[in-house]
Amino acid sequence: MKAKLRKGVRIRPEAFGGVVQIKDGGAFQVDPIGFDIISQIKEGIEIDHIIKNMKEKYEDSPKVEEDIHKFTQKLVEEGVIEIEKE
Amino acid sequence: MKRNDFAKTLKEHDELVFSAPLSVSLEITSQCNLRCKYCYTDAGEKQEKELKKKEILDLIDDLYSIGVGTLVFTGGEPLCRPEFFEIARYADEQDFTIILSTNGTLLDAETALTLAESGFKRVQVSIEGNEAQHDTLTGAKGSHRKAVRALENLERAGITPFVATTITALNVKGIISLIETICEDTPAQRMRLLRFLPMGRGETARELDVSINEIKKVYVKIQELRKRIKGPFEINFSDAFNAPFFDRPSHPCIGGHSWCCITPAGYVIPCNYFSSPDVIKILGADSIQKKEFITIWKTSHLLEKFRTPPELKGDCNTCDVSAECRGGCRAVSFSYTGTLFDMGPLCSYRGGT
Repeated sequence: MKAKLRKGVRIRPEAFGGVVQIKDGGAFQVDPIGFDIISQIKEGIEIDHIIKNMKEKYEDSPKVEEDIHKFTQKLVEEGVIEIEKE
Repeated sequence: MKRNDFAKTLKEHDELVFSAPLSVSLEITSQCNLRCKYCYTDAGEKQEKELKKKEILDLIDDLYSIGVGTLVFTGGEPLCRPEFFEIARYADEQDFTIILSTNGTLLDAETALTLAESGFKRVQVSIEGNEAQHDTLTGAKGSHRKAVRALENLERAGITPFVATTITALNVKGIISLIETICEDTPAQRMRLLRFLPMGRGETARELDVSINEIKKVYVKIQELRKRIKGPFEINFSDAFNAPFFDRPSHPCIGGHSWCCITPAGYVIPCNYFSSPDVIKILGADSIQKKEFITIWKTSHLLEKFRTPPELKGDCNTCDVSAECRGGCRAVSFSYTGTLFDMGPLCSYRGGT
């Protein structure tokens, strides 16, 4: 599964993680892990591969996959990303 | 991995100082077709050193490159500037969220359509009371009628209209009635209540000042009104009223943290309230005509004053919530006490009775 940032969404790093700004929408503050995930989505990396990357970077726990799926779902609901059709 | 949802809304203000502002208020002219008595910046005539169009477009490029997301066009009256639409379109094409703050008197049906074509989704119009109160405060007969019509024109053009009202001695008694009228008889979706400050032209109109006790009464009535209002209409208070007394978690002033203002002459200041040239001279702001914006954001002594925990004075020094609000609105403090860090009896939490 692949996702991409929606048009009008901009992200930028900050000392605390990063900021996501949506044109004519809101702004979100994300922690370093969240910003890492969004940055990988922006780079065009598939979600399954992001999960693999994150397990390698942090800890290999079943919760990682669940958390990332929840997070990406939230990003879809907030209009930050859209899932690309196969 | 820490288990959480990785995201928080910025309203929580966990982190205060950003590498660049999220939102910038751009005063693109000091020209104004009105001479409102309460105007904190004494708008009217064009300033000598007003930024040229090219300088503004370059500034917009700079702001884009450092990740600023929102530009609020204000003034003066932005629609008085002939290049306004060209500048706004340029910002819209770069994916900024663009918002306009206007007195509405120049906003006819055609202008509303041009605003929509230029990318505006939200426009704030000032309405200062009923017709008589509004026209008295603006000094222009017929300005109320035009402002109300502007709201209708905006809606027809597909733009969400908001209303801003400065609470003054002239309109405070009728403020609830005004909110009801705006809510029921106009297409406005939100009403923002601003605080009168004796700055700019307002310094010579101190008779418009409203005591904190009166503001507290308004607040209580608005709480009741909110229960009666149907639909999505919002009523909120500007940060100048900021204190735990009011209806949201207290947070420090965001000026210089996630937001700032750039004056018509390019001075970078923490908040629009400080944009009067006389006040800028006292506070010592830097201008983008001499330094890059990002350099000013990182090194400005004025902005730094707003970031470091202040040495609070007077009542603020001993207040039980000063760690949360850090002294509240600096502009209120400055305009009444001459210091940035002492709200004294003007605080909506401790002030009044």
